[in-house]
Amino acid sequence: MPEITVDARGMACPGPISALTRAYRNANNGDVIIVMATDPGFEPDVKAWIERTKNELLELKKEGGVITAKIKVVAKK
Amino acid sequence: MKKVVILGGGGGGAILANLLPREEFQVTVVDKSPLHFFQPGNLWIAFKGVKKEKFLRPLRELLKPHVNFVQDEVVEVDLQNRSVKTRNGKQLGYDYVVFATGAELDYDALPGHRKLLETYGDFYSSPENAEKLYKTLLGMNSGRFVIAVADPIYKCPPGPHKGTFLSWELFSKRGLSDKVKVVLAVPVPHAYPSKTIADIIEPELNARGIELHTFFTANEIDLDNKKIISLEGEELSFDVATVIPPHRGPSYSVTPESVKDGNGYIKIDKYTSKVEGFDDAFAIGDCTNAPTSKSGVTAHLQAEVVAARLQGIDAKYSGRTNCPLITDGKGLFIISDYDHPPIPVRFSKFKRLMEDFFVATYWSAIRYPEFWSPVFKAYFEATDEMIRKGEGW
Amino acid sequence: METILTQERREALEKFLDMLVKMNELGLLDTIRDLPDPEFIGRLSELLMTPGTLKLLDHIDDLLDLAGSIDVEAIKGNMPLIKAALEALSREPKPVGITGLMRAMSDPDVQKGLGLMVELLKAIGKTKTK
Repeated sequence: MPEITVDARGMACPGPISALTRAYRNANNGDVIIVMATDPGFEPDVKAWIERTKNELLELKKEGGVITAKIKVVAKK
Repeated sequence: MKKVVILGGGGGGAILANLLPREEFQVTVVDKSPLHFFQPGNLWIAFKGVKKEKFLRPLRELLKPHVNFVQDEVVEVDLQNRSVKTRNGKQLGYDYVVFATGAELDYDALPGHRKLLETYGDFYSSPENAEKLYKTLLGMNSGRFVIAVADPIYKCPPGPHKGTFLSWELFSKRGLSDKVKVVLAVPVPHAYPSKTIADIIEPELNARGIELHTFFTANEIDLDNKKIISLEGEELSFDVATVIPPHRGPSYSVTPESVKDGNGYIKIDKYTSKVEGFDDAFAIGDCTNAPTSKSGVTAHLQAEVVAARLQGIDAKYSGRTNCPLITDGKGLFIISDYDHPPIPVRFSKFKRLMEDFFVATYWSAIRYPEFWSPVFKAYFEATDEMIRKGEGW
Repeated sequence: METILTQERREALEKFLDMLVKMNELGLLDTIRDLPDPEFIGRLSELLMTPGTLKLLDHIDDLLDLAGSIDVEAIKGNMPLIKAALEALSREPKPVGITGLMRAMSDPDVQKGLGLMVELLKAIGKTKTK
């Protein structure tokens, strides 16, 4: 199961949500995308994105200022 | 004398070439085009009908006389043997090489995209296509004008938004704001990737009756049925449309291949612009994998950093952005850096004036960057202070 | 050269050159030549571009409208009052209790001042009721 890591820590505008949607474009169903971000805005953004795109949020953790989201790609047509 | 070869004479490469002191450096710029194009000009061409000649100048005239200019296309860069090969067979050795060739736009990635471009034009690919888009829009008297985005990492993040506001203004001036619907479709959860900025833009979109679609990543264009289909499974109908294409890094061969990332961008240290694994190679502007906006400001600031570093100064790029977003008569700047998301900013006439000033001084800033350096430095320091204090503007 | 120098342009060029001669005599051309000095431009930029000035300038259109709506004549007419108030403030007045206040109210100057304060309070209060 291919794992795609997106290190969006210390990313200026446009920021981590853009890095995620970009990785999603190149991913396939079954892939796991791991996004790391320091922008606090990423947490509500990734939750909204999961809800709308119907992909699976496997894990969302916050440690020492870093938000890590583990996402399973399931919704691609 | 140290030999510096700069690949690309755009907003980053030309400024860097003109910043390096002639007493210390023998500078050569390689660019396949004899002309330097002020890319933001595409907006004025496509939505205000300004002639493209206003934004094109011979690169030779913009480079200081002592800078060598090789008009040719780069086909191979060998970082291990320190040599650059051009299409016409030239071989350039160097003490330092700087990648500044920009990003490449892929109009063949999305089915139907090239046909869409050829039919209507756009405001990203070239000044000629921008002129074509202007003609298309002038001929549009009703229906839907859609601006969509295929890939969330593209140059000039507020570009589609500027296109939206300026096209609305064009239709409005022609008395067609009730007949033509302007539609903006973006891949992210709100009008702009940063919610802070989206909160400022969305009321302006609503006030003008502009239709906004979020979570829409353009994936396929059906020109016959006039609709755009998204990665997320939705469809948008259009009468005229333009889609910002997927972007990539340089396609010419670079050895070792490992310096390019999965999208072809040159991997650099985001602070020093040093190419990963090499002490004598740098990259600036849109061709790098720097986690910040792809913009002229980035290229300019990185050029200043590389110029300083080549002279032994430990200069660093903070990731600072200053992307302008203009509507009719007002503007704002998107101000962020690697450690801070965008600060809240308001649309104001003053900021719009500042943007007009930056545009008007562009040619001078390329040719005489040393003159404008103190002005830009003061501006960036003042606005950096706003970022540090968490203030808005 | 003849085609470039039309009669109008020749006239304009002559006037422009005469202007340059005058400016040179006044030493202005030397000033203009010496001004674009990176250090000078740097200091000027630092002065004009601070967070404070950028924020102020961002509201320049509103500030100019506001300034335009100010009754300058009224301010001029009341300058003595404004000056007197500032002077009094700089004298660092001592705290006054209820008895001190009673005593002060027998002073005719204070009485006039109090009358003014009442009018002021009335006017302010009126704006709240509107």
